[in-house]
Amino acid sequence: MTTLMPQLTSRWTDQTNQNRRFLAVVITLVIVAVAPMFLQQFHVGLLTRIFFMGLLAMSLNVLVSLTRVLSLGHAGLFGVAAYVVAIGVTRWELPFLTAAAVALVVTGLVSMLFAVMIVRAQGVTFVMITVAQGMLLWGAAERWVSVTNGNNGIRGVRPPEFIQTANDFYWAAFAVVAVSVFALWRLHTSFLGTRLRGTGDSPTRMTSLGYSNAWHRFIAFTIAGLFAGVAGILYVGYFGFVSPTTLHVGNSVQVALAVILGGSALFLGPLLGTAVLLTARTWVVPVTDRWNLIVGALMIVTVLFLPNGLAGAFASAWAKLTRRIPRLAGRRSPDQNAPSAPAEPPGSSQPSGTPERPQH
Amino acid sequence: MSILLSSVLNGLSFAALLFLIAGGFTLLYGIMRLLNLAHGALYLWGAYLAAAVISGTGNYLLAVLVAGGVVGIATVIGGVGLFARVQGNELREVLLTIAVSLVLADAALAVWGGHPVGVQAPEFLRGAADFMPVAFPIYRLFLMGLALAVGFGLWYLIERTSVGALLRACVDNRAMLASLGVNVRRLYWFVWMAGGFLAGVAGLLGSIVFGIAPGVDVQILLLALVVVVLGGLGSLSGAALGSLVVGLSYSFATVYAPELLYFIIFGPMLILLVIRPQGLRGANA
Amino acid sequence: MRLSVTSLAAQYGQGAALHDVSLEVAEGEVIGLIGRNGMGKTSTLRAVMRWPEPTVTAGRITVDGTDLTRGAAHRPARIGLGYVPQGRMIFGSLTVEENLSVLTRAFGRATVRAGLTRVWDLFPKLADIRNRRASVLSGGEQQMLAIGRALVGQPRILLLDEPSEGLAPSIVDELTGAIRNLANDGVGILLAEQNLTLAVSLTDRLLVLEQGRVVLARDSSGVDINDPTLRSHLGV
Repeated sequence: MTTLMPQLTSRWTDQTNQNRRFLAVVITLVIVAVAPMFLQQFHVGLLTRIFFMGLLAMSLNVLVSLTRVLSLGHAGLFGVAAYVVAIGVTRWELPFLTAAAVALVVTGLVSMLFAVMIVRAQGVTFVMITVAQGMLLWGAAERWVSVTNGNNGIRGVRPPEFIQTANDFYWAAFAVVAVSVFALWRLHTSFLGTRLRGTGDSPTRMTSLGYSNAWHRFIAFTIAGLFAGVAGILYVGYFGFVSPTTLHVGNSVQVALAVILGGSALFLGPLLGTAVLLTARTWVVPVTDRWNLIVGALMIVTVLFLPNGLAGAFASAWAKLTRRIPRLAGRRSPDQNAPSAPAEPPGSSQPSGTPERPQH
Repeated sequence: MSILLSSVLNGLSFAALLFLIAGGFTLLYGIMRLLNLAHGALYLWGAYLAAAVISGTGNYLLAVLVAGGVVGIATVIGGVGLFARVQGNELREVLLTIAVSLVLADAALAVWGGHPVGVQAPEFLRGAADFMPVAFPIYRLFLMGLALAVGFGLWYLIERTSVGALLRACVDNRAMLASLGVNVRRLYWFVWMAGGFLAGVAGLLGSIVFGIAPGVDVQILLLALVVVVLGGLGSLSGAALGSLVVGLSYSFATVYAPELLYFIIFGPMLILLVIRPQGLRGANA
Repeated sequence: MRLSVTSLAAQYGQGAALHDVSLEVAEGEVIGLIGRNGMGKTSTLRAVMRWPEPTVTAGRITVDGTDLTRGAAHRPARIGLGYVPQGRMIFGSLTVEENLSVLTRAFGRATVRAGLTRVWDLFPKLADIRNRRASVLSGGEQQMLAIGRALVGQPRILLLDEPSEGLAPSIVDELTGAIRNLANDGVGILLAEQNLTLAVSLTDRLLVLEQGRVVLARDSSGVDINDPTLRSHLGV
């Protein structure tokens, strides 16, 4: 959707930073792990929600940043997992974890079915199909009353026995999300990730190299759906409740906003976007009912002025800073990674994120 | 027998309404390749504005002009102001239309409140006509006639007038048309205006059948989406065909399989998209 | 009227297309722009016509002192430039006559009516098929239509991008004759062409483009088609 910034990608693969980054990751993990001991209940809850909604956004980003398509039905797959768990626990009286396993299988199957429908679609057609898929699931949740309990939703989904307190759930969610994020990281850096990126960036070259674009789109969509399912299982465990609103297109839109707000080019951008959105929401909702209006306005601003999201804005601000004070950064200037373009005269240059500036 | 007949009649009239609702949506896509996901929100505003005018003055012609005019002008302003910056980037355009629809729908909630509003048909269209076994509302017959008229009018405009030739040339090759000296921007204003006007007026027409309430915007958008995707994006005859398919299947599904309603509407669309992504009447893109 | 391009640089996205192109065309002159594929002929013409891409990053385009480097895409045509793009780009869903009359709103009824007469005179063949859909025309007919369409607005300078491409020799001769007639009527012509023989026979002056730069400029009358320097630039 947006161009990958060369500075960002190269920084991630930069060998000299490996150790420093590893240390940073460990420290962050430790801080996040002990955090609930020092936080109020309310903030523990907020962080927990950021974990699983952030995972949902990151799973969508598999499609956005690798295969370069935007799904607006992603909350549907998330909701399928939540519903299967809810039905499994309340109706079939399965243990939570067993229901979760069933939910993952079902979500995987639905994702595969949906993936078959999108392998040939691009751009706007893709968006429309995913909207329709999301609405199909929403319609099922709302209308198929005998199974889903319709608009009343399903209540009373208890998490597994070993989770007693909010802090317990926090740690469980943290562990699941951390493992999932690590798996997604492996995907992004793997050869499979490179091929998925190829499908998004230069499908004709993929074909000429002998790879099937359709197959890779199928894989990407299925993986994205599975991780959305993981997020959905955490969701229903946390709230103990699921209703058609969970998989409504409006919810999918907010997930998409989290991705573009955070910045799809950065691996953790969607998590950042989710954190910003959910935190802002806790401030806004007590004050005014106009949350949707704010989401919309935020989205307009993001699309118009932050084509690479907050992460992109930070990155370019950082690049500007390091260019001005090279010794502060102590590293090579990011300019070296830019493709060799002709020297532009001052005043006629474009912002780097918007090469497609309109002419009319 | 009478259930069957009334289902067919209901389906046809619903198809007519769907066609009128999808008109503005397919126009914007057909000419500008803009997938306007704010279409439902524009419809909603048209409906509220028309309802306000009707309850204030009782004048339906004025309601049509206000609903169509205000929504049309707002669409031009929004289109020119916002979309110029992201033109040519499909995904950002779509995101922008979603964002606008969120803002518009929430603003409508703030301005008009969350209570459902009913709108009556004008005096001369109330009542029912007798078709031996069933009585059928006159307003629904009127919708069928209007859909035919609007469909023919749009076809005539596009295929037989000089503005239509400009629009077709613009679809063929916009950059070429501009470099021949045509002010394409002004042409776009016209298209924005027409798309907004149609959406606003559809709000009045639809609210007489569905009423107005928060959330209607999403339902309307989805109906328009299904109709237009089934028929082929941007194709007028496709929209007509899609309306018929969806209208009839909706009408039969509500009677015979209400639980599966959404599957019956969305299912065929999804299957079609797999087999024939360009829709029933769409050109090979 | 005189079109001046000064030190023009332009790019597609991040990729540079033109680095330094300067040229002048006045009414009555025929200037040839030659070079291999991808050397910037089409980019130069598109930049002058304010096409969406490439975007101009440096330099100036003026017509009689009026700056055309920025501004709306329809301005060059209104000011008197006609454009026949590579690949013809006729409007396939319009009829032949509609392809011309579609400009009524841009130039006014009288101008377009006069333009139609002129086109039918120049290409009598087109007049016979005026109600046919343009998408079914042959390559030669499409090229005539593209040239005719560019003439409707009564341009003083015409930009032609490879009008001979993919056409049979007899049709190329017909088009060459038409272009010569236009030049004799005083229309300035900027012709982008790969076919050196054709370019030499039609033009007064030749500019050779390489990697987005004008590397050679010669009067056509003195040009030897077998000149090794020239041939090496053209890669023939």
